[in-house]
Amino acid sequence: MSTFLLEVITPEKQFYNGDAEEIICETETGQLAVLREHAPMIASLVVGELRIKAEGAWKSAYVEGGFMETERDHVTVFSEFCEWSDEIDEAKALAEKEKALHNIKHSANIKEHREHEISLARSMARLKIKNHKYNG
Amino acid sequence: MENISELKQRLNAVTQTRQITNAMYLLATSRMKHSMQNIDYNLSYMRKLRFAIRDIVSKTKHNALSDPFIELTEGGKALFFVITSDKGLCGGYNTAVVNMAMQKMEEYPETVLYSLGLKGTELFAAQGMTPDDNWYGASQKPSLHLARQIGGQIVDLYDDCTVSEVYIVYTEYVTSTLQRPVCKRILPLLRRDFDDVDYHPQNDTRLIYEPDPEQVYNEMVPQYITGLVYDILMQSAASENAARMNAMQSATRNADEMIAKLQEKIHAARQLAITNEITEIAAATSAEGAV
Repeated sequence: MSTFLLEVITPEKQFYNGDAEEIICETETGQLAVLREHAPMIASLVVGELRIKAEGAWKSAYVEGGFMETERDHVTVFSEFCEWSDEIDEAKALAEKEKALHNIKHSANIKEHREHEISLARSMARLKIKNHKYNG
Repeated sequence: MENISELKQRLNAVTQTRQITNAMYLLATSRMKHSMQNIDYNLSYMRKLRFAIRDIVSKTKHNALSDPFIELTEGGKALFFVITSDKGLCGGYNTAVVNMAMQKMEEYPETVLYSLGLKGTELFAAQGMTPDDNWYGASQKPSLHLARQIGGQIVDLYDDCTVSEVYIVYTEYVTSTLQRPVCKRILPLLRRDFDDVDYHPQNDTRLIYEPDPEQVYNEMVPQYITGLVYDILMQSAASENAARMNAMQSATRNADEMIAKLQEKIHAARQLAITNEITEIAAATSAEGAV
């Protein structure tokens, strides 16, 4: 299978730099798969999962928003924070989810409410990725 | 001639001070090296991000983006975010930044002042100015989390039109012996800010935007600002440590000079005391002989 160069970068570290066969990311309008020779595109990503297929195996990572730029044989994902699914701390994510659920009910204004919603989305995305099982 | 025990006491005190300044010098050196690594990485991230934004800006016609970021509205309030250190003993690092900020602020009729760093707040207070918001305890440990908080707050203030321009005044790290205060415009972003990006488009193909240009751009700009703030925070930390390193190095050097001088004085005083004693003994012996 033909591959392309995938770079996943954050302000703190280079998260991934290597060949990939396919990636699936989440955008506002749904999931988006990218293969080699994809037309030049810029996509805005939502908080969610980034799946990378390299050497025949799928890996899953949590991505905190950002965007993706594709060229024919080069894809770059810019995100502020990324972690592999096996790096996710499930207990911490659960605690964050409970806290966010509690805070949403007690937020004083729209701005606070929105902030808590974001942290709820982040913790739920982490939990989903952590517990996701794939068939091959 | 000075008293020997007094001189010894002073020698002791200077030696102890030298130990402290030398330890601070070593500490600042290691901290600076640490922040340098992060700066290097973040620079390559920012270079790629700037390239991507430049790509979008150049492939998009002027009026295709009705984004709120890329135009300059005049006459509104200007936000000044001033980055200083929490601790002193770093030479002119803080005063240089604060002086620059005050100079720039005079150009604007209405300003909002945010101060990161205890020393900045103190220096502004000495000039009779009270910052509208203060951030403490962060200057030595710049984190991405902090950068996101600051970036988010800046974008929020800009979005709800509280301010129309945002500047960050900080110390740019050039080399370990050269740091200079800089006043950088963060918002609004202008097209010309990306003119210096080394950009050679390979083809003129139209870009696909998912879901649409505006949303992509609105996602990109806050992320760019966070990256920029993170870079600025790290540069400030590196500059602070470099300034402290230089200050402590010269303090240690001065202490060395003082120690050498004091030791000379102690020797001289001791020799004088011995000479005096010998003279006295000799005088006493000759007096006895005379009896």
